[in-house]
Amino acid sequence: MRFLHTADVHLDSSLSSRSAAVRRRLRDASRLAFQRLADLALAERVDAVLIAGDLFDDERLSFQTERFSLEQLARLNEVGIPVVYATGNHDPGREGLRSSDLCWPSNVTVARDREVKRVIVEDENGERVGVVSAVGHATSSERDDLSGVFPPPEGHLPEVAVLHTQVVDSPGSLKHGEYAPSNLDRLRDSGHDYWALGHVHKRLTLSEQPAIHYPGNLQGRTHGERGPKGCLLVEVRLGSPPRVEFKELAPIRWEDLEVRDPTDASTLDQLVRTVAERWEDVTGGTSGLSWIGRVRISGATPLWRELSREDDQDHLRDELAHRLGVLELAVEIGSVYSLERVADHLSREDVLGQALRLVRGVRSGEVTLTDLGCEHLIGVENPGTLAAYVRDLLDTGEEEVLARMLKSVAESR
Amino acid sequence: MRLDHIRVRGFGYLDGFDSGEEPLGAINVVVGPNESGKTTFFHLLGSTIYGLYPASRDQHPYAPWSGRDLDFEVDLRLDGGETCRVHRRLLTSPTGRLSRGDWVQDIRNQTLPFASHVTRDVFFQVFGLTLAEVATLRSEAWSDIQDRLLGAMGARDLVPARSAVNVLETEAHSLWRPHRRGKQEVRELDARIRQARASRHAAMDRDTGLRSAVAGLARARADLREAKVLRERQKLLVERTTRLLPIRKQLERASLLADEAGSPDALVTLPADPAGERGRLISDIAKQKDRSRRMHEEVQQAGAHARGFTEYHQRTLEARSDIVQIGGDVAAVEPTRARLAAIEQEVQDRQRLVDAAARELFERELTGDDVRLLRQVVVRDLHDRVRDVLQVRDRSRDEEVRAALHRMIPPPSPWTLVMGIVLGLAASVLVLLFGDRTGALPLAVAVAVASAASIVRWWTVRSARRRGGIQTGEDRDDWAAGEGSHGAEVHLRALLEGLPLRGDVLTDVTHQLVTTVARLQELLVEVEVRKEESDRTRGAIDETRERLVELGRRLEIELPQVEPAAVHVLESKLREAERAKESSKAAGLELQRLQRREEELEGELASNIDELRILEETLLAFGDGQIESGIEAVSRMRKSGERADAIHEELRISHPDLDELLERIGDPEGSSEGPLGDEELSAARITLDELDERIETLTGNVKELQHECSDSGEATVAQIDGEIDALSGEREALKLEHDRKIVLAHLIRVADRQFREEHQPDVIRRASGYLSSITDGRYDRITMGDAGEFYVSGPCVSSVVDARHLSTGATEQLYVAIRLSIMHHLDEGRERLPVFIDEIFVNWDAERRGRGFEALRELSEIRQVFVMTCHVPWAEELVALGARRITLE
Repeated sequence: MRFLHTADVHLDSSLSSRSAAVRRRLRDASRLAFQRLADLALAERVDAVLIAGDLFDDERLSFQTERFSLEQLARLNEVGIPVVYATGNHDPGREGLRSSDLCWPSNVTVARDREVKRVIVEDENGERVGVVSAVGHATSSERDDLSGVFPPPEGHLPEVAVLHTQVVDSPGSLKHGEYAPSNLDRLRDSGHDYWALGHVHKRLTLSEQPAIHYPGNLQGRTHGERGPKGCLLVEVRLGSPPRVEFKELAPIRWEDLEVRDPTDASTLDQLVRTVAERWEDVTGGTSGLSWIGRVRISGATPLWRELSREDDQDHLRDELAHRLGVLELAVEIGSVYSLERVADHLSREDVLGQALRLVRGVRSGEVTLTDLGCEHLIGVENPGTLAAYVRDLLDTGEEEVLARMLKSVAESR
Repeated sequence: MRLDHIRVRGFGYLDGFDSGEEPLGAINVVVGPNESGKTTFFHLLGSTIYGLYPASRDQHPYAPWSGRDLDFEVDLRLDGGETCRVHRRLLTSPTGRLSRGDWVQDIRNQTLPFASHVTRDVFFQVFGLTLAEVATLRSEAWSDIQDRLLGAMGARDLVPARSAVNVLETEAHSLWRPHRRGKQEVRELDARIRQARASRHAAMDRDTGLRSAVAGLARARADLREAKVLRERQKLLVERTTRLLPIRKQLERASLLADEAGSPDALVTLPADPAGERGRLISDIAKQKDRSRRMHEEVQQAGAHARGFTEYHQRTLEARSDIVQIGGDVAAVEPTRARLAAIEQEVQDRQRLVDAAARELFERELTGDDVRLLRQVVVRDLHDRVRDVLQVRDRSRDEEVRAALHRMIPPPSPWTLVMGIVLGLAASVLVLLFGDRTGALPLAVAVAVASAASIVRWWTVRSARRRGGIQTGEDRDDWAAGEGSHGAEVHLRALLEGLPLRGDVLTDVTHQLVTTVARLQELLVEVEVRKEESDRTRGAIDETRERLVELGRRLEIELPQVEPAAVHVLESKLREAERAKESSKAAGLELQRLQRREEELEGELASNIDELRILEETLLAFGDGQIESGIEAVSRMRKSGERADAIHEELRISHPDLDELLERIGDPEGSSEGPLGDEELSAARITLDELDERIETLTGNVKELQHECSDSGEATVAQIDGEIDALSGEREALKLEHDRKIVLAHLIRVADRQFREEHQPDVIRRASGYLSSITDGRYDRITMGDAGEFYVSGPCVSSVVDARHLSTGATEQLYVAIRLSIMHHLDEGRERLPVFIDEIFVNWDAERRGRGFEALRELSEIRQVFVMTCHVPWAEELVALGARRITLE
């Protein structure tokens, strides 16, 4: 049985960008990726398409997107490709919610709650090639392990299970909240030939045999979702390990670039060139894609004055966006400071030396600023977290103090 | 730490400076005019302690212009009494050496280990007190001075802590200041977030509206369809009454007419105008008959032409090749004739030559027999015979000559030869028999000589005779027996027997005879050959002529005598025959065409006759045996059919939906409704109008809803949520930035307070002492207020004086006191570093200056003091206080 496995399409999800044009492009990119999914299914003549949850963001789904997605599914219906769709926490299937209201084409089987939906898949000659079982989220906050609901496979045909879940003992699981948690060993022992999972947006292979895969989301939405995005083309046969191939579908890719201590660039143009060269290294000159980039500049630099000024930041952003040829570019200027070395002034017997040593003491935890309370700060409310919060704020505190108190630096800001 | 000796080999203006054998004092006054190196001196002190900076010769401000290295050596005495020597040098890179007794340490460019408690920057800023620094006191706020002195311990490279704190807090408040007014970045963000949230509601409403519009559109379309159906039904009803019925009546009328017209098939064979057609046919038939007759005549004529090619023409054509051949041959006759004439001319020429040659030999003309005989003569034999005759003659002449010679030269006697031989033998016997006797030998020799002479004589005569050709008698006899002149001539005559030779020919035989005979033979051969050729040529001409005549006879043509003319006649006949053949062929084709045409005409005629017959039979059938009646009946039927068709056509034109109407007319269900009465018809029309209006309204609604359903391009909820997320992210970043600045400000404030609390009391206390010394006890105490302000007091002032209200001079005194106290504080308990004072007393009056100098002297008790001045009197004052004078030129 050959099928496409996708998840976390998140059509019409919130796309963080200040530019309305970029938000539109990202929305269109999600749609285009979904359309490419349908194109791929038709081109590969797969036997089924499996969607493991979070196809859209419930209340955000616009009418146009709804119509568009149904049109794409209808294309598959025209050639008889079945779609098995298990709802997730963003598109729960309970009555009254959006997924239950849509007029799904007849080829779409929606698993919207714990009731297992079982679909016998036939190939284009009408022969049975596999079985797909799916269970969905009824609400947006499922807390139980839904993997136990699946009946054991009968063994005559390859069996595939579709589920939107957080495998608690998988890499990076701590970053995610526990939505419908499941256990890796339980999945392995279930007897299924393939687990088509969704929820984690990063492509992961939890097990080769039996195959347990997260395909990752179809189109990155934030800087945290970098790298190629798409779906998995899977071929499952009884008695042999599944063949899984990643297919890139996303037209927009996100990428970050960290530039620390750009001491070699003494002009903004040089800095632009430096960043452009490193960007080229990171992206590898890949063509056929649009990029959204984020460049973070921090540390010691001869341009610390310029990078502290808004006008120069805007100029840098514009130059880089033009040079890198990206769809959108965020330039984050972290703590930048002059090339003066903290170590040269740490032992001074004056207020500067005192302040530098004090910062170091606070960061190391040896010193506590006792008369600094939550009431002075906006980002913390719990006194128990104040010390850690202050430590994080003072990440480059010594350099900042030096830049503020050394006349040669401070008066040039 | 004190400097005892300074030796400079290269350092700016101090090149070659040597402080001398005597150690430098606790207080030293360095005197020199401006630009003499006083500031350089301070840097030399600093470089001694901290190394050479910049560490590059090219960049060092005190690198000698002469190109020499920076190089100096200083002897130091530490506070504990230990002495050491520091040697600093800057070549391509700085080097340094510290010698402490026997131990030499390579310190490169590092700070002296016993001076590390004060950094280089601090030393240069704090341990040098210059006029420029003091001069700024007038323009600087005391609070800033205070900050610099007490916070920065006098260092001038620091921003006052308070200023740094203020800047940070101001920046933080510009970002965010909860519960406060004023311009804050966060407010702008909040406003935009609120705006976005409001747009979100609008977007949700739009989406809801869109869904509603789509649903409404579906309903509106359904309503529209329903209304259209109702309208159609009502229309049908009205139509039945107002439209369908008249149509039906017309159709009935058309049907009657069609019945009257009968089956269209019956009339389809009849023309539209039977009478006219009949008349036309009759007329056509007559014309066709006439044409057919004429065509027949033409055919006959064409046949006659086709037979124009006769047997004679045929024979002539068969003789074509002969005619062509004879033509060619005749054309060649004239050149042949010319050639014949030339040949005959040649024959004559040759004959004349023959005659001429014959006359040389013969006495008369040659007959045929003569020629035959002549030709039988073999020239070779003749040549031999002539030769023989000539030889005989020659020999006769020779014989006569030889005879003469014979007579002149007698033949050698044979006895001469015998004698010679005998003598020779005798000589030999003599030698053999008597050789040993005397006189025998000469005798033998003489005999031998005689023998030889006799032999030689015989031989010589014989040879002479031979050379003269004198034959021996045998020779002569042989010759005479063999040939003889008479025999040769006989042979010759025999050879030429029968020929009428001239008499002198044989008597004066010469080789010319042979030549002539040979020539004659050649000429005769040539004449014969020419004659044969002439005969052949003439024969060819005659043969051509005969063939020409024969050809004329065969073709029964009387030909002219002249061959070319005859050939011309033959060729004319040939052409005539060819033309006749062509004409006959063309006539044949024409005949065929005419014959086909004749057939066509006859076919058409037959067809028309048939057509007429059929027409008349049909008309008779329609007219009950009368043609005229038949014509009338057909016309009548036709008109009915046309009328019926016209009715149908009118209906189609006026009712494009006639087919549909016909179906309705034929609809059994529909036929049950209507026709309506007038009132019902009127009501039905009103209902129809209402339905039209409703349909128009619904159509407009559908269009509006379709427009509503189209993508307006406005932001969706998701897009707005994205904007809100981005703005929220910025808001969070602002929070962090605000807090970071607040933390930093707080931290600097704490550091400043801690530092002052730790160091300030001691500094103030000590400064009070220095102030008392500098002011000669006028002010002996410095205190700080709660707000950190300075106050001075003393026994001679009634109240505490705020430092901000002191005079300029007093302010400077206070400043100097605090500075000196800071120096003390910085190196307390460690090596005391020297201090450099540069003209700070220039604005002090003599009294203050004196007190100042005294304070310096007291200072020198704990640290070495270097005072720079260009004022010689002041130098003398200081010298009077115990200072060592150093003069710079």
